[in-house]
Amino acid sequence: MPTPLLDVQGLSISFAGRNGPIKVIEDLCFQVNEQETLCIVGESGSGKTVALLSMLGLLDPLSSRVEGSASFKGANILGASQETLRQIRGREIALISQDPMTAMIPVRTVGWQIVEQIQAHNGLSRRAAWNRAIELLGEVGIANPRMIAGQFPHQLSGGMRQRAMIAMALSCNPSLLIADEPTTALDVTVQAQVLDLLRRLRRDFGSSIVLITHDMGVVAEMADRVLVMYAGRIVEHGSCDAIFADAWHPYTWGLLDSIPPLDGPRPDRLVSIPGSPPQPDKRPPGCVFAPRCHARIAACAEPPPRQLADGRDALCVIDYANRHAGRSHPVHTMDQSA
Amino acid sequence: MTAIQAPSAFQDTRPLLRVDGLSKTFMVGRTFIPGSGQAVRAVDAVSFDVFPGETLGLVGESGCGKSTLGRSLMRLHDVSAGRIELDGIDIARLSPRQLRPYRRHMQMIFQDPAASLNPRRRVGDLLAEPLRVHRIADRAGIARRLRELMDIVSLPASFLDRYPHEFSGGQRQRIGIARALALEPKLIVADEPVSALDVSVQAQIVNLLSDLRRQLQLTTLFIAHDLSVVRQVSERTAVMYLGSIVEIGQTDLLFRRPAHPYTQALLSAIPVPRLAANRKRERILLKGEIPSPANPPSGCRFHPRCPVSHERCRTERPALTQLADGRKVACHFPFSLQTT
Amino acid sequence: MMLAALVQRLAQMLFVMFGISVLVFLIFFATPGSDPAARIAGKNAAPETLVAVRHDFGLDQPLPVQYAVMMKKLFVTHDLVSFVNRGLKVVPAIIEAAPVTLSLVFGAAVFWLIGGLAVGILAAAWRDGFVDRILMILSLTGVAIPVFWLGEMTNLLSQNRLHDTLLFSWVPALGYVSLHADPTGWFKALLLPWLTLSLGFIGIYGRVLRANIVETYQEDFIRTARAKGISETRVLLRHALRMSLVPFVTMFGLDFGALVGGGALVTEVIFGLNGVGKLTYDSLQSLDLPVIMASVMYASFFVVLANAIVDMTYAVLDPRTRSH
Repeated sequence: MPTPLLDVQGLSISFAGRNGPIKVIEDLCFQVNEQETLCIVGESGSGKTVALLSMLGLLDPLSSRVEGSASFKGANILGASQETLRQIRGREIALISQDPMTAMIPVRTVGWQIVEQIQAHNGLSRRAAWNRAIELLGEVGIANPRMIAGQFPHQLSGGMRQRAMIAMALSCNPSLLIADEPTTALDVTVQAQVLDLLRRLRRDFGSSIVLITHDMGVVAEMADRVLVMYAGRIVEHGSCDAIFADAWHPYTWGLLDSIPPLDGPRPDRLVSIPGSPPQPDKRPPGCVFAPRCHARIAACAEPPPRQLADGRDALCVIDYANRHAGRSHPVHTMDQSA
Repeated sequence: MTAIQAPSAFQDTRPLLRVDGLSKTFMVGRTFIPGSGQAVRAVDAVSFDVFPGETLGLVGESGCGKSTLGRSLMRLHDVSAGRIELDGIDIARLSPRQLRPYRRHMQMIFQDPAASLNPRRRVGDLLAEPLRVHRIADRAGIARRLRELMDIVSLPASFLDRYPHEFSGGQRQRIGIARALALEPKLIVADEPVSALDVSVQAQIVNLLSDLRRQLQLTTLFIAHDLSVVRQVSERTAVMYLGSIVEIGQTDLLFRRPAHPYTQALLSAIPVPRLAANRKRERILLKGEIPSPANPPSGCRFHPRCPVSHERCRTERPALTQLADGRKVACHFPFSLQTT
Repeated sequence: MMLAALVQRLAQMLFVMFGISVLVFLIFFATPGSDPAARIAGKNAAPETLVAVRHDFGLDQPLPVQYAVMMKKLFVTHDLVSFVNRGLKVVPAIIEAAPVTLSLVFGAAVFWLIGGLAVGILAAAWRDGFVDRILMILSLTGVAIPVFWLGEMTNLLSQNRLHDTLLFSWVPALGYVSLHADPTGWFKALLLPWLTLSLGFIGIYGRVLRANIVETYQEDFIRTARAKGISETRVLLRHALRMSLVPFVTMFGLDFGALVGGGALVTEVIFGLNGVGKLTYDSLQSLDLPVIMASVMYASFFVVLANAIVDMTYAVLDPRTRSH
């Protein structure tokens, strides 16, 4: 088994709150291998973005506390020095943010911003860096890269802005790309183009991708492996095929079953998960999902065990024998019971 | 199976809402020099009907004008041209004062439940305000109606004394729906009612809206960009591109066998949450970007990106014409984009 | 399109200045129950003077004509004369006072720009630390100290008490020294006034800049910039500072315009500099109407001009405001 590219163990993150620290991420363990796409699915309050930002040391040190370990290519990055982190950012691990409009500085041209990243890690001259930037913009499918390089972010459409962000992220050939909901702010036809681009680039550049999303459709299209996060924990993990064929955790069932179908018969009522995701400071003891879970039992008042199998696991008390029965009896209330 | 009524039941009755040639043009970049500035036709001569008791879905991407259309129908701003007939009365040209009595007949559900509820007012006040403004009932009557409304959206009456920020996104949206229903309007315009909600909460609200439709015989214009949600709730669906309707017809027909190439591209672009083996559709990738509404292409607005465009599409703009199965399509060559 | 925007701006400027001139004119010439002739002629004026004034300014003619006469005297013939001040020609007096004010304000501006930038950047770089707190306390002190007190104290020490010491022996007597005549003298005479005037501004600008930079740090693009692997210094200067410049420049333009227009009058009076501010101050003391009229027009011109220049700088600083 080759060493994983990124290996996270026991990651816990707390933020300073009014009444003491609030634990946002609880004991996270996962790996990212070479040449694979890992999708992290979750909703608000799941902490998916915070967990990945902590890899790059991008959380505010004054108001957050990060515990646990993470090693990238064998070297520890969680406690690394600022200088080490600076060299990794952009060159080994690159970030694509959710909203390209706010993620780029509005007063500099797109070309300038790409050049800045190139020059931060390579000793290229300004001219050489500018030409490389134009090359990259062409590679991400922009039709007129020389002109676009000289434009400002607000002059581009949403799709082009995101492509420019992707070009910028790839400029130093990183081994790992963290894409934080890269298509959420885009139209569906543009989303298709951008996902297609990411797939192609992964093939051509050979980087691994961690793709954060809330859209199970995107997961099905892009993922090799899937992590499902809820309230700061990983509640399910497995290969994409395994999750879609036979999910284990009731939350994953809810996510999958509540999507209205695009073809076939129309259900009379959609399966829904009652209640809402809890705020980080109001998480219940025991199983965090229990208040909303239709399959809960008395044992769910205690922290659930991790069901393990070959290459997958789920944080749930329900085991193999009871799984099928649990999934086929959803309820239809809107509010969770106490 | 679905409880949505067969659309043919509607066609014989008179439409509740008839929109005829509706246009809304914005002027951008004007200086004091006359003739400067560009005209942006956000809504370009749109015509359609909505029949009583049905839900018409309206889908499209950025710049298609669906939100502007919704706001124009609600007369949240003036209309540049065209007619809006609500139960026979043309409200497009009425002054704000003349419009007042008609406002109670059409209500809107907004996208962002956090932004559309005044954070400084209690829920009870927010729901009672439309009743007071239109002098619907006396104090006791209003109190009764408020309890009714909370019941309709399955929220306890004790919530009336609380403030919006104390609730989750889904609960806030239910309050927004209750407010829209307060005056028993004839028409509801729902502008992206579930887009701002968490995925696990969207299904709750979709179910609620379906239930309410059945219970209260609501007529709804459901504006959304999420086609799977639209398919779930609408009898008929209209697809907009760059300010005009390119296809409108029975939801089942439209989704199963789209006639307009854009509709096909839109449907094929949606990522399907199923195993690769089950994903039958082949993806149609459109080239280029959505053009700016300030500078629309000649002829058929879609032709520069259309995979099957002909010469005629560049010069002649197709009108919305009726097909054999009752649909209307704005295309010279419908059904010409075949996929497996 | 740039030309059209420019022309539009100029037209707006002229319109605003016209409006101000009409308003000031009406205040002095059309307030019921007062006699402009008496005001212009000054207290204890002889009856012949009053008649002469009435004739000269066309006060027996309708208001629009009076306005036209006044504007002509100000801008065309430059023969507006102050009766109170024994025939002082107003427009030349202002022209003579202008360089003093300009010297004072330009010099102070240099200090307060450098000082404000330094305080803001350093405080933001070490925010919430010791340096930050000290700088903010000092800034607040600078803002709180009234200019007249600071000026008088400075004079007390530099002219009087400590004048003979090494620290202040170079300080000349109060008053302005022409730049052409004696550059070194010009500099020595203005140094303390510059520092006095700029102290309060350094305080305000330092605090505002620090607040803006700290707020900008919350933005998405700062996270992107860090994620690119550029140095923290570069993030501060080339991203956070660059974005915070817009409000900084706006404030500067407006303050500068107001000061050049005569807003530094307290400093001028205390340090004996005969600038436009002092001229305005004196004229207000004696209610010398022609001088007041002229200095209001002068001041409004500079404020409007500063406003227009600030607007145009927006287009340079923030490309989103340019029409494409």
